[in-house]
Amino acid sequence: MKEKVLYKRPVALSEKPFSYCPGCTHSTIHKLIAEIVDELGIREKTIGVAPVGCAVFAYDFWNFDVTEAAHGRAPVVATAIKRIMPEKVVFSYQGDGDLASIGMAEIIHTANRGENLTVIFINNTNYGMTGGQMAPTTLAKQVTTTSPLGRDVKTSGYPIRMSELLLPLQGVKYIERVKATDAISIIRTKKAIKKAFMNQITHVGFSFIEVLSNCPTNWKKDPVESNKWVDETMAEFFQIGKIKDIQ
Amino acid sequence: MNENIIIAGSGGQGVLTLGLFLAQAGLKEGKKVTWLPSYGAEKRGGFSFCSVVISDEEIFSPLVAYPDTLLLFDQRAAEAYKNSVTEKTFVIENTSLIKNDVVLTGRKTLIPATDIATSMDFVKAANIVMAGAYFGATGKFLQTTGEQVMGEMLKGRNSHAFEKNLKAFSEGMKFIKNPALVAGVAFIKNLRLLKKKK
Amino acid sequence: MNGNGTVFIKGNHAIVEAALDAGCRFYAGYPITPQNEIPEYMSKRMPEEKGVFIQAESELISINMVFGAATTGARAMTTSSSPGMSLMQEGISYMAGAELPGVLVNVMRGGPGLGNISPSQSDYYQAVKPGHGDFHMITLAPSNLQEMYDYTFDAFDLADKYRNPVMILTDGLLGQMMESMDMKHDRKPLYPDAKKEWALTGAVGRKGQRIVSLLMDPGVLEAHNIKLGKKWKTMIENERKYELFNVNEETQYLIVAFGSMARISKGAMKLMKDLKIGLFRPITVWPYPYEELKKAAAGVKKVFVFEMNQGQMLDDVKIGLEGSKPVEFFGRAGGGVPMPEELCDFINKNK
Repeated sequence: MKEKVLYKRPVALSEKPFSYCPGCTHSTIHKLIAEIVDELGIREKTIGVAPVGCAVFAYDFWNFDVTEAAHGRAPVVATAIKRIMPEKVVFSYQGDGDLASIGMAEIIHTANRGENLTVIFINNTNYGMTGGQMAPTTLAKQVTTTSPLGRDVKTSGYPIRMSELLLPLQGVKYIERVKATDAISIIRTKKAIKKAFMNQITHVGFSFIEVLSNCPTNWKKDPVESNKWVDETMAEFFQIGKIKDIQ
Repeated sequence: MNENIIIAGSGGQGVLTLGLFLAQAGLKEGKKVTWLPSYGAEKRGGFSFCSVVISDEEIFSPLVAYPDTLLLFDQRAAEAYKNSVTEKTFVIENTSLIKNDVVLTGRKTLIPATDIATSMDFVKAANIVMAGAYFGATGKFLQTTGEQVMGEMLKGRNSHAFEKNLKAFSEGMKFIKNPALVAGVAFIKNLRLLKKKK
Repeated sequence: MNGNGTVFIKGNHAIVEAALDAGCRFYAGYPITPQNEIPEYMSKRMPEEKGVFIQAESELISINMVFGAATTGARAMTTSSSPGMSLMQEGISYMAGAELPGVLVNVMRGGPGLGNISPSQSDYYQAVKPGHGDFHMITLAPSNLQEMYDYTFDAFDLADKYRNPVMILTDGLLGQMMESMDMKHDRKPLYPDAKKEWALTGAVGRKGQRIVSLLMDPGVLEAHNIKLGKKWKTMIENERKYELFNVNEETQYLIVAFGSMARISKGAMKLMKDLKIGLFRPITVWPYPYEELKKAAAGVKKVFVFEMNQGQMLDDVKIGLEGSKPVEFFGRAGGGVPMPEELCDFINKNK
């Protein structure tokens, strides 16, 4: 009987096994990006910018050029790379502490300059790598290691909806909020990220994909429970769907 | 030649441009030159001054403590620099805006530069009138050098602007070279001061 | 621009011309006095050279853009003045850690805090001991506009030679003043065609490569630091630069000063021709020419250190002299700039 290949590791994915926590969606999203890079045939012209946070090691898992950036600065590092080499496909991959807190100025101005870039924003409502501290995206009353009694909106403010914050900026062409909790939502996420890459290739402009992600370890939930929390609690505050799409 | 110049006035009077003009004249005649501006936080009306050093030798310090020539545009500038004047300093005062005599040492010549510029309906050219006075009084640079530099600095502007500036330049020179006029200004000023004292 | 020739130019503009001549094709900067002429002039000149000019939204963004530009192998620069340079310390450290070349210019003003906009040398410490982590940065301190141009050009070559950020440490006096200097548009950058194999230009026919400063595996960071340490040692051996002015066997007093203060010191020496006084001027303030200083001071009675701060380079002078000579310090603080006459007075009172 002849062997038929139904699925194999994308070339853009390295051979190194993922080291993320069991059930963490970082692995899933990394793989989606690698698949998209393969499908678009852009591995040799893709340059990624990794964040500070759990995904700082993203470069271990991708087989294309990747640079680190200081905490929050990925969008401006990506800006410089893209401006110097406009023919390359450049994206940043950032968590919520990185993008929505320390890197707020960088993301706002990069979006506002309308850089022809793709930004993948992983929102899991906490600082994962440093042990689960409160992030700007942490939900009201959510318990974290720096909000042990739950986020008090009176002193810590309300969670930031980054996608909606970027919506009015004229330089921004495409924003979609997705999640990766089940097969259907993962397929939708892939579609959105692929469109964000295509937008860059076809010079549409700045595209921003927010992926609601889980953090089983810091949330102290098993993977199934954590995905359920994304579906039922997070997605209630951070509404899934297309937020802006200008062609 | 070693000519240390300070020009002082207020922002908007063209103090820095006048410095640049003199520096360029020095360059044109083959000298070494430095030009050091003040750069205040305010764009207009703030205290403004520059130091220009013109020399046959390499210039080390672009800063001038005791100028060979001091060009003063207004009362505030005169107050600020009265103590930098030595017996050897040559002072050119714009009497249109300096009413009180505070610079008491040095050799001094007076010219109502702002009034002369105003009479030409070109008040902005008071600095060029002062430039003319400097050229006329010191004779350190050729008149043609000044005219050439002016042409270069106004390159790209219309010929009308050049002619008006040239006129201001020659009015300044003419005034300072006319002993009667200079003496007249001094006389009127002394009269005014005398009246004040009474 | 083509060809060479003498120009009468502002210090801040000379830096722009040098950078472009050295092949800088990326600039990001943020407005701050007294260096504004650099981004202003660059915004006009860089597009003429088909490079990228970006007005960044903060100094943090400027330096991180330079980081990004450097990852592509492009020659990149940012400029600022003291408070902005404080913000850039993060990026400088990341560049040193990731071994990325780049040029920074600090047109110093008075501090601390917002300070004022007058010329100052109060960022000496910050320049020679930058950022976090165990690293160094070659820092050149020009003293006239020719050097502003020449050393800015050199800085790009040195940055590429060592894959490390290089700083030009200057101040509002040299940035704002005008003077004649020779353009060398025909000067060729070193390593112009050197393949930057490490650069991220797309993984064509190869595996993806990385630019990182995070090295978490046990022992890896220590090994990286030791490798960098060898680089600092090479820099110390090869790149020390200084000027001796009127130093000979008869010299009785030695002034040590850098940048614009060295210039003012020469002005003072001109006024004190009867005194046998020489000047030692470090051009690289890191690596500091310690041995050369000690040698220059060998026969003198006393060493005078002049700075536009309250004694920062003074530490290095003392390290260099190893207690062999008495040292007198005179400094002006908070944006104060001394006249040559003030230095003469100090020398006369303390010789």
